[in-house]
Amino acid sequence: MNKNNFLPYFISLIGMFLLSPPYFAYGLIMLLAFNIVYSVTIYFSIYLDGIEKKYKDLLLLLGSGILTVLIHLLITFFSPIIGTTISFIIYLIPLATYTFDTLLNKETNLVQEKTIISFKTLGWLNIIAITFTFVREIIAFSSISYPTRAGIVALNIPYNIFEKITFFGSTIPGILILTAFFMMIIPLFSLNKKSHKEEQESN
Amino acid sequence: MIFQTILMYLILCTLCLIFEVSLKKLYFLPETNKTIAFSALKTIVIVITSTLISFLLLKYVLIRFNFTFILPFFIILSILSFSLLFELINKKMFELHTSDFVLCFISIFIATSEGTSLLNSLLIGITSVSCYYLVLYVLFCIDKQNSSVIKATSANIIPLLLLALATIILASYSWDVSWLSIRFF
Repeated sequence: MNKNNFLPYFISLIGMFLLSPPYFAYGLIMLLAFNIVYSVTIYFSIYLDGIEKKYKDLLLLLGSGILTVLIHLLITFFSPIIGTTISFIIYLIPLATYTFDTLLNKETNLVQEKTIISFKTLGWLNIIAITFTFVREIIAFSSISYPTRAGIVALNIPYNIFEKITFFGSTIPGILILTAFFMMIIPLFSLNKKSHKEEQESN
Repeated sequence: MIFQTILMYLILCTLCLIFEVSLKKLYFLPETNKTIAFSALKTIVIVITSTLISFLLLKYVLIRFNFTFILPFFIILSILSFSLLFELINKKMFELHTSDFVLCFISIFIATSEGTSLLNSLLIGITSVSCYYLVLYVLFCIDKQNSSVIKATSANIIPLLLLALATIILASYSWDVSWLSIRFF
């Protein structure tokens, strides 16, 4: 994932998190499930490299779907409230993973290179997702939450700097505006990095 | 009842505005009207057949054996099998697209979980998909307007499209929808 092709990854990732409730705890659980499914799918995809594309897609989606069912059962076993809340959203993970695999196949065919790129992408996606869900909860409810067996526990921030926009931040238009803001910010970082490197090289 | 369902799922509780399924389509915008027409046809047929199967499966098997949590998995399975069937008919016209998966999945899930009868579920599914293609045309118009003003790169245009989508949602929410309730009908 680089500056030029980060958008499809970002959209697939955020599409998954937009549907979950705007709490950091749910974001963490979703991210954990996503990491497991994605890591297994990378190896599964490499294993199935010789098979024709349409059958490979079918097997990949089936495999990731079965894995998601298992993870959902484990989450429900850990906390029934969290399991019920994300019961339908968690099934977007196999669909997102399928998108990532399709995108990665366009980039390279070499096994080693593909593995390195996949895990690098996964690392970047984790950073983006954690930042997004964290900022989203602070803006939406001005709290930070974490998952427990009895549901989630939210810790309120004593000084609410987003008091005026708290209600708007928890609505869908508010989250869309936040997503647009993220989309504008992320390329700027990589752009600055590149220009800084270029400056150093020229010096 | 039919009019109320269509109005609710076509304008007010639209999939694109509530569940943001259009986000992916913003990046993978189809090129021509023909592509959109074939994509719409494929999606509608997949949604109809999968809703039919999922609803019957839910009603006669999953609820009876208390296995409702496994329904999304069966929905994914049915979407995949029908997509493959379409691909076998004509690969160029009915190519499997990543963004179509989410649209099919969410519309079938909503249709099976919110529909009161089989016909009602089918109506919800069809209306949700049609609403999606309506919003897609609105986004195309905004995209064309933006392209004529600023330098057209997806990195520039997608945030602007998102802001436009947010404005559309705010406009639709400002309309008082309480009269849609059956009590006032």
